[in-house]
Amino acid sequence: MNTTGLKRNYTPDTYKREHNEWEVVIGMEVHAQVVSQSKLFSGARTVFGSEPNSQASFIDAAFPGMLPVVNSFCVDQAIKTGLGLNAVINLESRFDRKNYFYPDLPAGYQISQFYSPIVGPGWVNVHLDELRTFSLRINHIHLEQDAGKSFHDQHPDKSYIDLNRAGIALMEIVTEPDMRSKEEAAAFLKTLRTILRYLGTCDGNMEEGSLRADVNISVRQPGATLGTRVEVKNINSSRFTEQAIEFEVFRQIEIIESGGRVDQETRLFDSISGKTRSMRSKEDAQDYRYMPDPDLPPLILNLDRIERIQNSLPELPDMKLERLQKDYGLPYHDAALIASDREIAAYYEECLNTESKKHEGKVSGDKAKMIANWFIGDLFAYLNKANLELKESKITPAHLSELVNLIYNGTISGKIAKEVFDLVWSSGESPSKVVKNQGMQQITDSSAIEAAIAKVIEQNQDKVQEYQSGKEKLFGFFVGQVMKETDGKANPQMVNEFLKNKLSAG
Amino acid sequence: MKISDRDVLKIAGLAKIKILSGEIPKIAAEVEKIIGFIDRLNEIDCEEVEPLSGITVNRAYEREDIVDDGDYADDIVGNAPEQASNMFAVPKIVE
Repeated sequence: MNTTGLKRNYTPDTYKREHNEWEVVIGMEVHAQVVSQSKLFSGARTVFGSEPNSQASFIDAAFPGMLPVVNSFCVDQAIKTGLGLNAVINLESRFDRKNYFYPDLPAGYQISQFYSPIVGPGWVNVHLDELRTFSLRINHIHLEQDAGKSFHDQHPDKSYIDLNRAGIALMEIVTEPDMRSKEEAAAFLKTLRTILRYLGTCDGNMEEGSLRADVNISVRQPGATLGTRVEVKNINSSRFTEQAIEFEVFRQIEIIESGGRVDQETRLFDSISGKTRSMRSKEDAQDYRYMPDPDLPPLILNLDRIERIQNSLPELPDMKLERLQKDYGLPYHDAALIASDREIAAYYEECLNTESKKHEGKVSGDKAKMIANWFIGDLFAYLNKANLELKESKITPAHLSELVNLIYNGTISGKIAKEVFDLVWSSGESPSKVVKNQGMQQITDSSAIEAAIAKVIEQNQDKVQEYQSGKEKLFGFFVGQVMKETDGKANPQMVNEFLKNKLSAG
Repeated sequence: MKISDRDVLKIAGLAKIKILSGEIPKIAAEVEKIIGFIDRLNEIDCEEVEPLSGITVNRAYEREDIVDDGDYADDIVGNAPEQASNMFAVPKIVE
């Protein structure tokens, strides 16, 4: 297996102050909720937003005498995630108890993997833009249980606890401290989310808390040893990640430059103020007293199982991005947008498949680009405006490919195509049917175009004279009149050419 | 192994147990005795023994990903000293 280390093809910006230059060092622990029907150690459902405690089992609520049994599919999902992040899969891993008291943790311990996690070191490539790329090392991934949820706002002096989330499988993805800017941190989180969604191992829904990050931040003068790090807990968006880092960098630089020392502590991010505040300091740092869970024997994997999962991996976003650029000549921007989501990519590739079937396995770069334009330009705009998801669109990939062919072979002009698109959007009928029913075919018959030109010239003798005496700006007026005369269906290139000849001939 | 008053207070803190200051010396002595007893395990040479996390089975049994449990919220909160809308009601936790 590849173990590419930290690399970047550019130099990250530093923070330059009056007397000093500072570099930020960032590592992350990302908690990703595993997509599965039932929980990691119990047979209760994992649906978001169910009635309070309706999906808590006696195991999740830690009733005495309950025995946890690991969910095989959750194990597969963790393996899949590890393989997607180029990581080592450990054939033997173990579960440990992480002890702490909190009302949403009924057993008084969380079952986690501390000493031997299921996934070992890996790496991931992250693109900041077309030119800047870096690769980041994954330290390990372990499986653990989620805790229940507390509600603090329902009663003046009570907190309410719902255990529906308790016991849902989480993957904790731990990186090395390889990020050097808030931009890199945000880009990594986005990339990780995309990969997990491609793999189908986490839905990446940050509003519902399916993906949350603890961000470790420290500053140092470039080349110096690592500074004291501060952990900012539970950040649930890329934007908040950037805000929290920005705030921490200035707070820490400020402390050091005024002669103080940064405390190693855990801080909370307040998304309203954009600030972080102290949660607990080192003096009362948590002592989790990890111990092997005697209820759970070691988790043993065999190579066949890993190979089967390896063979089921989809093409990952990085490879897709590269292929779209290489095989179809798509610009980076288009390719990156299409590859950024598995559903979007699938739609676009279905367009290309339709096209390829029609044309003996070939898709020209021209058409691939035209399809991309209609897809991310027009269709996205329509979807946004109607607040619909791609899968709800009446315009199918076959429609889009057909529309592009109608333009390409000259049946309709690009302008008419917009009208056709609009009609297909609302009716769901095929573009060629719409064109036929509405008589929208482009006029390429030269005698018909010449007739329209003759009529326009006839009716605008005064303008013709003005044009001929040097007012060339009027050319656009004539084009407009001819198009009007033909209901916008005349081939624009032919109109231009014929008009020029006619008008200059006098 | 020597157990100090501070060790006792720390362990009590982690276990969320309240200890009166007068009890500390007695408890420290008791804990020291217990640790001393367990410490004898260190006398055994297990250099060549594989770590063992259980004695019954040597590998985890895995279950299929099937929903076959839940939907008894009343029973879940049934023993709680206080509840509201099928949730546990606990003294306010302020972070």
